Amino acid sequence: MVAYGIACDITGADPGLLGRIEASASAAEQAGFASWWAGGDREQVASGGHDAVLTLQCAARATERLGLRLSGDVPVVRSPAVRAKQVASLDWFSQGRLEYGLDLGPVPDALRDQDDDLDAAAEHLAAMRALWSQRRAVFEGERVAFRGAIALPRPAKMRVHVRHGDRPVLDLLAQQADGWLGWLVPAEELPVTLGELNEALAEAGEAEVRRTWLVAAAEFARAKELLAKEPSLGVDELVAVFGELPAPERVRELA
Amino acid sequence: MEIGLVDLFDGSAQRDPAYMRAFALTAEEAGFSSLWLPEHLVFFEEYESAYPYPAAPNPANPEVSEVHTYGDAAASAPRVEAAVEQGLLEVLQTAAELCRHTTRLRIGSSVLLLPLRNPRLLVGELATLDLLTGGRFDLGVGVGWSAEEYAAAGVPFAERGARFERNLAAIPELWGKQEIGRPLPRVLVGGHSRPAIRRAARYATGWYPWNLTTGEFAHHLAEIEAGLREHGRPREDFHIIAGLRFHGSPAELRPTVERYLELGADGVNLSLRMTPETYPETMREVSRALGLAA
Repeated sequence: MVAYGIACDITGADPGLLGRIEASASAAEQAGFASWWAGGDREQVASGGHDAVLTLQCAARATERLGLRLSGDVPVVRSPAVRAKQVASLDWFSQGRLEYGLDLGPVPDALRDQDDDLDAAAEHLAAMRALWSQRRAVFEGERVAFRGAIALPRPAKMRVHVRHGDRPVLDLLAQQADGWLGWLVPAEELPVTLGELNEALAEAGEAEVRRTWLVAAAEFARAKELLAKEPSLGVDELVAVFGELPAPERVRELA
Repeated sequence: MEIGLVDLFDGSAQRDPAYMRAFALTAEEAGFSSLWLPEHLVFFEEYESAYPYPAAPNPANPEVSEVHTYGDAAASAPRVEAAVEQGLLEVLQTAAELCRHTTRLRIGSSVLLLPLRNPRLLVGELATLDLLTGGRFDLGVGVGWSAEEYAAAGVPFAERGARFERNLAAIPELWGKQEIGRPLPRVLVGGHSRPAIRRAARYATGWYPWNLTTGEFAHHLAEIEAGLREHGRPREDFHIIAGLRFHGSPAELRPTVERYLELGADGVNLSLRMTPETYPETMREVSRALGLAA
């Protein structure tokens, strides 16, 4: 059975923003949506939108069951220890409802800070996973190293999703991630895109990962119909992407 | 009298969001002006780096410094005051949580490790936090002291000063470029080294020294004021908070606090390391001793 979610970039500078986020997230939970996604770094750069972690924290405070998702962290633009702490803290504030999405595409120029190749991204992810999972964390990489690190609070389990990308990205996904994100993949390209994922999974000897397809909110109904007709695509979750925070009534209409 | 409290929200079950809310409301009701949040991304059982602030002013005589040891007293290097399983929640989310439940209390970082941040992303986070808190966040920034923490962050320890200065200068510039339309939160530079004093006077809107005796405070304050004059910056636009770990009784506080204020501090931050069991009574005692709720 396909689960449904809401994703949005949040802009605006009105003092009532906090209350609006809480109201919309609460409406999503009450309407039966499974998840609430923040836009990724790439979208935030383009829109000048608000910080994903802090807005997800607002959504967490107003809800009890709604899954919270980062949809597109570009890992190399932050120190892994900084991001590991931010992610672990948000997971703590949401009582374990956070999952973590990565965008391993080209680094937006505006965010470039350090190394930006795929090896660096893989190292950052491995370092974060060590901090999230080990009581006295040990990691030795080219850029990051620690021995006996205490990083509390630690998530009970942090699921990692990766946005669709070229073959090296899919190979990394197949080896290290728990889920695939089809961010704004057009419906007509979905079978081919999932075929590329299947190839990478097969080569890595991995049977399956969770498949989440994120579509523009205007395409949500059509996408829903497509998935009902084509269950063999194996999509587990369909997410409606809004360019801005949807009002509660818009959330309810979509349910 | 502007008095802040420095304390830890460690991400434990005991100090859950309900505790955080009660703590913040108690502080607000007791008349404290602010809560301040230390930052560590990771702790270690063993450090080769020496903690630079083991000496704090003597509670009965703040002209005199005394060293406190934490953990293994036989350790060769001074240690940071931390539990065996010490956690800390991320500073900006903690600030958002505390502000959500209060109306007047300001929240500050004590201090955020600025060289470890991407300034473009930090400014975005600050803009969001500023909006969510109604402008009640103050950004205390520092260089940090732990080479181990820098290695875990993937930032060369040797570059800490240059990265600090680069990021400190970039914050107002990026804030202006993003056309946020609200004033940049107050930025206070922590520490009293020569570079810290120079950077505070040149780039920041405040200074936040830690554990200085009143004599040391007066000495470095004169350096800050000279730096401000050199850069043509008015002292009245610059905010100075003297922070200290206070080991004495509430009754001993008033003369110490008054001395910092007489010397020119705009506020005093106190680290009392209160427990979940005792913090309400400790806050009320300190409030009474300093006349905060009046």
